[in-house]
Amino acid sequence: MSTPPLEPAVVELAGITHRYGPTVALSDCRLSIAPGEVHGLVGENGSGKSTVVKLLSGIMRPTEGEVRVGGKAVDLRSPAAAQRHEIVTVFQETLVSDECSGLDNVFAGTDGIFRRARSGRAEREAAERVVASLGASPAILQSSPHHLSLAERQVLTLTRALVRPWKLLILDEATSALDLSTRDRLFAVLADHRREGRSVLFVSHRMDELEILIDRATVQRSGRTVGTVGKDEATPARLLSMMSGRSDAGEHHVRAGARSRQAADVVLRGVDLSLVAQAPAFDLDVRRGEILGIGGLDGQGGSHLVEVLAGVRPTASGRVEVDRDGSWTRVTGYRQAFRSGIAYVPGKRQEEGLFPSMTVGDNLSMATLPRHARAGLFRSSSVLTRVREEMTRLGVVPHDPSYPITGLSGGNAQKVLVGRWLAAEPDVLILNDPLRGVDLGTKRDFYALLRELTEAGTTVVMLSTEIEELLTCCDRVAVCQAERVFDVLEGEDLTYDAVLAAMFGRHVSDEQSSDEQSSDHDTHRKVTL
Amino acid sequence: MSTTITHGDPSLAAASPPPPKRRTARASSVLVYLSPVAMFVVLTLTTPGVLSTTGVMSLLVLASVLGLAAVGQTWAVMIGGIDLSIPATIGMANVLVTTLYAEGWGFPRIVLLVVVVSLAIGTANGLLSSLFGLHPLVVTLGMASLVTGSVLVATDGNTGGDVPGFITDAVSPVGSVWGIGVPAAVILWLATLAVVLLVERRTVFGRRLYALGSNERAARLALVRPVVVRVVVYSVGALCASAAGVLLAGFSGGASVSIGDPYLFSTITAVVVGGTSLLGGAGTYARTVAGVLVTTMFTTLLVGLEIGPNMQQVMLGVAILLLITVYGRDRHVAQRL
Amino acid sequence: MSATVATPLLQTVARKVPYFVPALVAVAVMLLLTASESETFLSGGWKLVLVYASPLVLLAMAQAPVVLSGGGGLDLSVGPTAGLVSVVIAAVLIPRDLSVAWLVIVVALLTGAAAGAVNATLVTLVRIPPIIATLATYLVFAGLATQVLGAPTGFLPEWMSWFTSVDGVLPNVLYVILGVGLVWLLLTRTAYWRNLLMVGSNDRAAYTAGVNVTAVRFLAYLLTGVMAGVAGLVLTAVLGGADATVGPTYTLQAIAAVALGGLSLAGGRGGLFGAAVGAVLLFLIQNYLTLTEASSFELQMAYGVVLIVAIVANGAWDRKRKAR
Repeated sequence: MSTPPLEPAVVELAGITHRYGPTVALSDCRLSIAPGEVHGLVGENGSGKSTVVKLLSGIMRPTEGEVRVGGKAVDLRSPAAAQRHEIVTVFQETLVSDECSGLDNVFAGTDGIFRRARSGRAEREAAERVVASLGASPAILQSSPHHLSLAERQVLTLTRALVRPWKLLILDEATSALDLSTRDRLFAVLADHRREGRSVLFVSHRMDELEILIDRATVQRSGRTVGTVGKDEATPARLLSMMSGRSDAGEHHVRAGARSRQAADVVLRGVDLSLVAQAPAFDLDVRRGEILGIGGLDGQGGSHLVEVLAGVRPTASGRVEVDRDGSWTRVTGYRQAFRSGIAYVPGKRQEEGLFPSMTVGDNLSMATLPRHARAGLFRSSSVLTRVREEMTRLGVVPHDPSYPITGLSGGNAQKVLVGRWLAAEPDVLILNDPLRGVDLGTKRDFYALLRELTEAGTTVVMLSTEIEELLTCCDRVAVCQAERVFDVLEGEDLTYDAVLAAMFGRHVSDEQSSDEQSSDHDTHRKVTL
Repeated sequence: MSTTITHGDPSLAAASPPPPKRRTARASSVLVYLSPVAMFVVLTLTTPGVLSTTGVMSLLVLASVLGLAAVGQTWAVMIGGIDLSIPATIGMANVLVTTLYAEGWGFPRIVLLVVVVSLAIGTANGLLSSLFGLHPLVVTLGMASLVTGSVLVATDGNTGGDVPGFITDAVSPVGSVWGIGVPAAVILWLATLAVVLLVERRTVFGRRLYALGSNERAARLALVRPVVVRVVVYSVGALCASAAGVLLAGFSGGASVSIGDPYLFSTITAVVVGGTSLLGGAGTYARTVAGVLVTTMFTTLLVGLEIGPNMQQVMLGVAILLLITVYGRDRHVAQRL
Repeated sequence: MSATVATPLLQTVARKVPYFVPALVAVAVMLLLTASESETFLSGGWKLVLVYASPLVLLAMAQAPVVLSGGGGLDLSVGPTAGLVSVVIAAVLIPRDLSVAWLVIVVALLTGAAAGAVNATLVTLVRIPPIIATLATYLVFAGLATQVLGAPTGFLPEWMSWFTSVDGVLPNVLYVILGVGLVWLLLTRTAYWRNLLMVGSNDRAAYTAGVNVTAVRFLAYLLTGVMAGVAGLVLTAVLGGADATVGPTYTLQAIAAVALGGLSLAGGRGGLFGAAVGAVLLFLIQNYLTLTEASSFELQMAYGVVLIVAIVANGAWDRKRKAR
């Protein structure tokens, strides 16, 4: 199945096996990256691809087998060692320090313990070039990253990688923190590097990105290398079926047209809502039993909007109201919102969601424990029954409430987090980007779950950064731009182009009459390499 | 709402890795609970005198005082904090009991006052360490100074006094309660142990305590009120420390605001030897109890071997290092990525 | 990419102003108060105050590198290390007539370095959490010191009185403090400073960027040990001898001073200057309370209140700085 590379490999994994204690994370992994290619690495969570990334970045050393750089076996004992072999990595998590300036963040690790590798001026010039090429302001290098957006923080880590001498750049889901325009800039920059013979190992869940970018792709499944395919073969359908081992994997259930909802039947609404100081005010209605998607570029207010609706974040002005048995109750905070039937699933799973030292059962039951308690004492059997029900409904693997949460894959941990709030049987479920960095299997289960919930009368508000996802599972999509809801799309109007245009503050009707807009659109759809 | 979504590929279930840490966690907890037993065997071999009812009871009385003092330290550590005000609280209770008793106050009235002061200390610690993310280390350090100073000012430095006879009996190794040959101090400790473990394991508060220690931001969003948990944790700690302070009055008859000073490090030592992680979110008072028993017997052992207090201290330090090296090591940065 | 929002004035100030400024302002206030209470303070009394404050100042400075290095970095053993150095000088060197200046100084620094190396090894290589590792070495160092020197002694070579002399324009001990500060200043001109702050504020980011986290932290503990050695030397001179029980009492004060000086106990923010300012502030508060003829009881009470108020104010200031 594999296509032999034309030139000797830049980096090669030969017969790599990696074990954590008795668990085999990777067995007989083979991967060969040719000079000047963008090599995709795909697989569902738990397929071993993050282990591959860690081995190549010097974070872990393999139990068996060899890592070869330029044909020679090397020992990548630390990230510093990997960088000496000109392998640089950008992770999904934006690893920056808030106490150092952007510039220090970029160049830390290039020096010795005491010796500075280059002058401050040389550093600034090199970094400014890269930052500018990614379309960001050089000002992000001067200040500390406290106040930067997620995308700007990721620009810093990308710059950190690109200012170093490199032959192989590993992007480990690194694009999920970027907004679309920065991502497209990055792809263009990578195209230049590729022409100079540098290679990229590209790990992503986004099929559209893979389609645009890669020359070849290696597919991992359950710790094994399924195979490497060339560009022609690497269609989304083919990759998905290789990843899952099934032939129907490419199918998404597309929500069969928005069911018509009575406009009067509103369960949650924002009135004269303003998300941040001086942002324009808007109204937003959430209808009973619908799935309302919240879209928009990163940092354009989508995240603020879901937080405001859930009462986690105060409104700058205006109010959020929820329908309580026919009368409108104002939402003043997330505890009060919870009592009014609103549940909020936070976005950053590790920072805002999980309790790493606790079990799956404890994590799942945390918010609803008082319902099983009398005088502060809870009944374990009653809690456990409920936990098992939710785990069954969500398909959490393994089905064991006493399992430590840290042992679960990202997708399963996300299910537990959603289960924590489903257990509260809310009227309105608000989800902040629940599927970022989650594998396709979980996504499929998740779409089905949302449908099932809405059929039972629950209302869902879901933020997503992926347009495809919004189209797949939402009845209506509210697109945020410049800290307001720019447009709410539904029915016939809910198309890929319309959502994309709204993200950039335009209506599709404008776009047809303007060349400028369609070029904007083109950059996104087909960045050619 | 009960339809099951089956996961597409059954082989994925097998692919989900068992967590690597679980085995080691089990192994170390067995080690922790076996260590008092092992230490007792060693102790009886070197100091045969211990193997008598009085010998065992005097060990247990010493352990109960340390055990009560260490309740607050354990919970403080479990929520990712630390409590340096325990010695001051012990001293406060100790001085109040002896001084006020000598002035003719009734014991219930004294207890009421001590409880009120303890709750005030705990509440202040809890509120202040919730403010602006202040480090509890510094907050409780300042509180310790404030408490000790206030007690000295209030008593004008005359900290001597009388001790009610039943407190002396409570800590006597030959004391008994309701005809059972166990000193009241030990009974008090066992009762406290039962309540503390019940709270940790079976109450909503207990779960919230772990959640707060594990991830404060997530705990907030999961409807935990960090301030409330902190106030309760530090208040319970102060109450137990006060109990220890009252019991200490029974030993010598004399009283001092600094009588609690040795308990600053010995409570931390007991928590650490028990293997409760200082990162918070894990551990239990049961482990601290093992730590209390081990350190108490270890000290008795060294005294039996006629090792002076200085070298006892040195060896305690070395013992902590050895124990932690076996089961309490941090993970390397690479393992946290 | 990020929305620009008008920031309130106080927040802008909090962001622009260096971390140690609030402590510095507090020191200025305390100096004014002290001068108004004590007639001799301005005409030379301040020199003596500084001499007595110097062990605490040096120990707070010693505490700074490990606190900066993050990961719960803390050295509870700085006090006992200083005490141990003092005991080595008074009970080992002097009775054997090995009291030449250079030898005493070298031995003091080496003893401090050795203590630092032990802590460094335990924390970075054995990977014992800092608070536990240094609690254990606290017990060990303090125990050893008392074992070696049971009762305080008071025989010191003539030259050691140089440290406590206030005859010059500046008290001599200030040169020691400035010397330590200068060495540190030189160090901050190297890459080590960036490495330390990066490791302290986000060790995972530092590690993936290629920083040798273990080496950076090891050095921080070593530096702390060496500075505790200097503090031990000065402590001996100030005490006019050695007392094994004095050193350990400085540990908690040094930590409080570091917090007062605006360093983040979580690591990655602050510096040696702030630690020194915090220590001076702490000492001035104690000194002022003594001047006002408060009883030692009231002193202790007021000390607690002031410490809490100062920490709360510092926290509020930091909150302003970080607010988005």
